[in-house]
Order: sequence, then C-alpha cells, then structure tokens
Amino acid sequence: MTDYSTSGIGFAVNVTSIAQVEVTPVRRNVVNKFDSQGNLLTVDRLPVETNAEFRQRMLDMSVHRGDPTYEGLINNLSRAFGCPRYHALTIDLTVGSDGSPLAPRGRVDILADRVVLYSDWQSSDTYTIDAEINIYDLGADGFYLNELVNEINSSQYFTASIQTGVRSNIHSSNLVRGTSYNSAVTEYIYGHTQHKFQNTHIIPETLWFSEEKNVFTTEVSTEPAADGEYYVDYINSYVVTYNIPSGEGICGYAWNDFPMKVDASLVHAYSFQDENFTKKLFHQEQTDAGDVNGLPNKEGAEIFHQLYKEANIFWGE
Amino acid sequence: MPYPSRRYHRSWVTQRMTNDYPEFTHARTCPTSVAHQVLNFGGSLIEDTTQKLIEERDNQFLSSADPNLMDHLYLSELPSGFFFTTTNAADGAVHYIAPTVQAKIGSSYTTIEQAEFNNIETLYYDCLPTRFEDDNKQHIWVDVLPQTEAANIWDMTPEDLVLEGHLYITIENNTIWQREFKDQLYFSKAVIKGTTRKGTELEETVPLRLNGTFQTINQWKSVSDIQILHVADDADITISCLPFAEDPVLDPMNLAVPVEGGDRIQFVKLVSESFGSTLVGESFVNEELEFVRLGADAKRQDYVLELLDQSGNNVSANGFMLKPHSQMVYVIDNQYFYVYDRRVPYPDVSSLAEESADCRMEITVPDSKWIYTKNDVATVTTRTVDLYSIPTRFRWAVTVPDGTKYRVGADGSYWPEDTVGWISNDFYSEGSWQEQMLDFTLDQRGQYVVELEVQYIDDETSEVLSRIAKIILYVPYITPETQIALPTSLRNCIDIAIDSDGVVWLYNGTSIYRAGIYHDYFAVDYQRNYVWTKEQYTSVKVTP
Repeated sequence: MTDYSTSGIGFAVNVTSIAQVEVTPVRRNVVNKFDSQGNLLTVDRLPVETNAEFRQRMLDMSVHRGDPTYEGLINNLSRAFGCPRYHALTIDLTVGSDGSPLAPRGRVDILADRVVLYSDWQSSDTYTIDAEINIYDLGADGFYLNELVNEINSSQYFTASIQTGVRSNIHSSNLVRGTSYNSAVTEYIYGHTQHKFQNTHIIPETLWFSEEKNVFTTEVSTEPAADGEYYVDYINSYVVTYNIPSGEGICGYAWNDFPMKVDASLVHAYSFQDENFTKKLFHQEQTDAGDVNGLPNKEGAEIFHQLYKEANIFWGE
Repeated sequence: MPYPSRRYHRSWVTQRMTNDYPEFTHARTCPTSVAHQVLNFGGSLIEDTTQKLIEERDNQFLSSADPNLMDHLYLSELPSGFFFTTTNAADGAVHYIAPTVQAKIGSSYTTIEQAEFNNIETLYYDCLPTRFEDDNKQHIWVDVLPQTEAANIWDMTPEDLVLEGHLYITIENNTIWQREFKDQLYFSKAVIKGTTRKGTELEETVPLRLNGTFQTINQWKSVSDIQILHVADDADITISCLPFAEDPVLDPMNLAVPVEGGDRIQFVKLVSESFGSTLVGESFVNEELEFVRLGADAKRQDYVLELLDQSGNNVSANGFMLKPHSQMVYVIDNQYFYVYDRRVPYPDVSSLAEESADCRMEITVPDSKWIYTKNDVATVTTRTVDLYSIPTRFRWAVTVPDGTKYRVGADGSYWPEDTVGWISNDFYSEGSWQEQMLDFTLDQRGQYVVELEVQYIDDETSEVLSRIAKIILYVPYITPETQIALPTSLRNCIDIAIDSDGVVWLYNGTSIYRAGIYHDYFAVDYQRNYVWTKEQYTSVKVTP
C-alpha cells in the first residue's frame, strides 16, 4: 500500500482488497447431449428449460409437425415459445336411449370467429345448422370457454366438457381451428364377411367400395340374405356382406371424429384469406349480393396500421 | 458436508479376469487370493470405464438419455478487487486457499463446502446430497392397474396416470410362460394401448419373461386398454407409473460373475432381518435365460450387506431406490434419508500376509464362499497341500470383528488367546492325516480371520516346524455416505422411487410427495474470479 500523504499531493489513497462480497448468482446454461440433439432438430433450449422439458419439446416435433399450413404454424410457434398446444375441450354427440346419436349426421366446425354445430351435414350444399356460437367478439355468447361449453350443452344434439386442469375462463379463441369432418382415402377390405372400419361415425353416401361390385351390389338395412347384399352400421362402423370379399379390395369414406378432442394454444393465427376473420375487420354493408366488406372498423384499422408500419408500404400513392 | 468415501470394493470385472485361470486354482476360486488382490484394482477401473461407455451410448438417444445430465450452473462473478488468500509452498509454488462461501438457504446464510476436487465432476455429479426437503408437490397415488388376477383384467378400466412416463408392469405367481396352439408358440406378454407422452396413439407389447417387473419402452400419458396374454389365470398383475411394486430391482450397474459358468444379471432387494435391514444381491441360479423364462427362475444370494447408520446402529429401512447411472442407493426409514454405496466392500486382507510362506496345509470353505450374512455358520475345512508332511498337532484361532483373538477348541468353543489348545493328530503314528472341519457361527458383522497353526517334524533335522494358514470370513456391512433427517412432512413414508424425468418421489401409502434433494457445494475459478454453484441461491457471500 502506497501512502501518498507525505508526497505533497495533498490527499491519501488507501487501496485494500475486498473483505467480503455478496453476489446474486446468475444461471448459466451448459450445453449437453440434449442440446446436441436439439441442434440436429433445429430446436433451441428455452431459458430455464430442464432436460426433461426440452426432451418433450423435441419429441413433440415428430407429432405436431411444423409446416406452412395453419396447424403447422400453430405447432411450430407454440413449440418455439415453450407453450405447447394442449387438449382443452371435448365435444361429443348426444345419444338417445337406444345408444344412437340424436343428430342424423352431426358435425362440428371450429372457425376463426365462431363454432358451428350441424345437426345434419351431408355436403357443402345440404346441411342443417343446429347452432352458431360467436367466439370472437368480447361479450359474445361463447367468448370464454365455459360459456362456449354451456352453449354447446344447451343443444339437444351435442355435449361438451372442459378437460381437467384447463381453466374455464380462457378465451375460446385459443381453440385450434378444425373440424370433426375427415375423409379416409383408402382402407383395405379383408377377406371376411364382417369388416370393422378403422374409424367411426361414417357419413352415409360417402362410402364407396372398389372392384368388388359383385360383393357390394345392394346396401340393405338388415342382415344381408342374398348375393351382392351388404349391411353397414355407420355408427359402430362395420360392414357385413353376404359374399366373402376377395381380400384385395379397398373402400373409402368420410367420417366424423367423435368424441372430438379440441386443442388450445396461446398462439393465434389468422389469415386474410379467411373470410370468417376478415369480415371482423370491416364494417359489413348490405348489398343485393349479400353482406360485403366496407371500410375497416376500429380493430381492422389498427391491424392494418401496424402491418404497414412493419412492411415497407404505405397508404395511397 | 461430506464427500464420497470412495471405498475400495470388489469389482465384478475381477472375477471375469481371474476366470482365465484354471478352474482348480486358488487365483480363480478365492476372492482374497493374491491374484484377486492384484487384479481388483484394474477391475475397478475397467468397471468404471464400462459404465461411462454405456452412459455415453445411452445419451446418444433422446429416449434413453439421462435427464439429470448437467444443463446449468449458477455463476457468482466476484469483482476485480476481490483477491483470494494464497499461501506459498516450500517449493515456492503459490497455492490458493478456498474462500468461505455462505449461501442463502431459506432466510439464513449457511456455509457450504467446496467441491471435493474443485472440478465439474465433483461439483455436479459425484457430490453427495446435503439437503432433503419437501418440494410441496403431491398427488394421491393410484396404480394404473391395481393388483389384479390376470383372469379379471378384461373387466378393469385403467386409471388415469398420476405421472406421465414409463409404466411398470409387475407379474407375480405366474406359472405359464407360453402356450402352444396349432403348431405356434405364443409367449406371455402385456399389450398396452393408449396415448404416449409425446401425443401419439400407440400400442406397445411388453414381453413378460419371468415373475418380476418390466418397464415399458415408451413413456405414456394415458392408457385406454390393457391386455395380458398367455399367462396363468391366477397370475397377479400390477401396473403403475412408479416402480413401487418392484421387488427385487434389476441392478444395471453390476453383474454376478461366478467362478464357473456365465455372467448373470443381478438384482438388488431390501430384506428385513431380526437385527435390521439388509441389501441383498441375487442372481438366477440358471445361467440360460431361456430356461429361466420357462419357470426355472430360482435365485441365489450373491451378497448380503447389513445397513448401518452413521452411529453404527442397524437401520430398519422402509424403502430404497437405485440412483440411476450410479452405484449409490437411496434408502429411507421413518426418520432419515440415507445414501449408500452399494458395492461390496473389499475386506482388509493385510492379515493374510502373516500366513506362512510355505503352508503345507490350507483352510477353505465350501464353494469358495467368502461373504456371509450375520448368524450364518461357516464351515472351515483343512486341505493338505503337501501329502508327505504329516502334521503332529494343530490348533485353531479366530480374530473376531472387534479385534479380539480367541483360541478355538475342537468343539468350536472360544477360549482366551493364551490358551495352548493344541489338538493332536490321532493318526500321526500311522503316517496319515484326516482332514478337519470346524463350524464358526458369525454372529457379528465384519471380518473374521480364522487361523490354523499346524506343527510338523522336519524329516532331516527333526526340527519342529510351525506353519500358519489363514482365511477371511466376511460379514459385510455398509455405512451411509451421508444421512439426512427427513422433513417432518415426509417422515414415515414407506417407499421411494424416481420417475422418468429424474424426479424422486416418496410414498406414504396414500399419496406421493416430490422430494427436493439438494447438493450445496461450490467450485472456484481463481483466475477469472468466479464461484460456481450447483444449486440456485438468492444470494451468496464470499469471504477470502
């Protein structure tokens, strides 16, 4: 230690080491084998993410794949933010005392702005709507999840329940859009007089059989009793034939996935190609051709302003 | 705060190496032979290396990678004005003195110890637990399928999984392992159907090869259907998400290597004796698993380790679990949490050096058995090595574990050490010797050294020659590497297990409780002025 007090400078300087220091430790991630696996899968560990949580996120990549579709976008962004999609809601058909659904051909669509319950859906031109529940607007009947469930349960054709552990007051707009409707491309028909389809709730008039016209000639409503007759149970999804199929035929059909498991995600994605969304951004004007989009409403204007700020474009010329 | 004892143990690799000797040799048959002593050191190194290679292989794959791999540390960066205390050694080298580090645990500061070798290995992996806390997370425990006879399973609906992860299928009392139908053999199996943890719908078949517990390959989120096929109707099946019903537990770190025959997989279980709990290692008598699968699944004991606490008293354990990728075992009783190194300690063989260099007679035990359970009776027999030397007389002695040496009479009774106690060779005048046998009741834990002193008369010089042979009879016991009092809320639990994410749970018969096991150590980077800790603290005080 140098004493400057006698050197003529006029002040003394004491230099000593620190006796004790108090520090708040900070976390430092350490790269391990899981990070190497993540590199191969182009997934980075999130801050404060444990090995087990990171592993689950990596495994999720093969299940909820990221791609340019709507669901792919939800999957990828949910995973990247560490808030994976989760099963939130189950919608099922109400059955009668005989065990058959009350809805002739029930279907559920979850759209950008509403949930549509069809009691009888046969084609895009032929359908009967049971209920349309607004989930987009604040104060709408189905804005919160529990309200949506109440609305669905008030239908005579459908029931709904919130998954255990999911908060009932989340916004229904968290629900990942989808439909109960599915189409199967091909399914093999094996060489038995009874064949169980891989899916249930098959939509009549969509079922077709290939090649074996002598086996699947006439559909009957009871046990087949003659050559070419066959009976289909569309609810329990099996077919009984009078003749034995060759085992080399295939069939195709559309079906509804019930009970319908609806996922939710904190990531919302809306497309400007989706009319159900864009009509929410504009005032609707009535014309002879029906409602058309007019000037942007407040929400629409805010969105457009924000987009123009980010993009290198501007209003007008 | 303790460091691992790094106790010297007998490695299973050592027997593999000595099995290259002829079957009749002492080197192969006696675990305390000179050959074993020389090779055991190398065997331990090979054993450690083998385990590291297995770990590296497992860590290549997401499904088998160890979730407890080091993924983070906590850094306390010291200011540039902080200087560590140093000392100058005699050779002029400057050595750093470890600082005093106090970590804020709860609301108060506690002094924590430096990692044993101030490196990553001892800071993160090899360190012993220092705290055991209730992590304030619990679930009511329900088996996915409670113990049910196989014939009744079709009527059961699987319960929701308490914890997502692997499932453990335990089958007991089964006597049928395959069925033949139309020239086809159908083996016993369990078929699990449901949703895996990553969200796919899957059906997994688990072969059931013997009465025991089997883990599913996949990790599950929910189970929709369970089928148990081709087993006896009265076989008992239990399916759960933690291996509480597993008894015994497969030991993935050790093998049973016999003197003759092939290696066998080894199991570990907790056994209650009148004096306390023991950790028992066992393996199949039958080396061919194909025969084991058909019902020849009898097991033999490889070792019995008496469990003691830090005071040297017996422990009455309630449950145990093997710490993955480690030779450590976690044990709980009503009050404490214990960590043991489950490897069989190597006895102190230094007294064998006092054997006569040219023993003309040696003493052995049947099957070269070298470790025993307390209260076992060991039969020691003589075996003449030099047929031309006829003993005139002999006498026995034994040094018991507490260090007291006794003279032993022909009837096995213990006399004071200074008792003469010679036993004449009744056949000496006929020029022959009848092998002798003596039973020792091993009622203490520890090491017995049995000594046989034999006298001969040298043919040429008529000198009386005395030769001493020794043998060790070992009743092993282990003391905990560390012992921590359980928090009040976690006392009197009946079992402990680890889940698929590496989290330890305690079970009290009704619910499971998440255990918080902490390792309060630090390491110092003297050049960069860093202090690293494994655990998270709100504040750390460092004093040079």
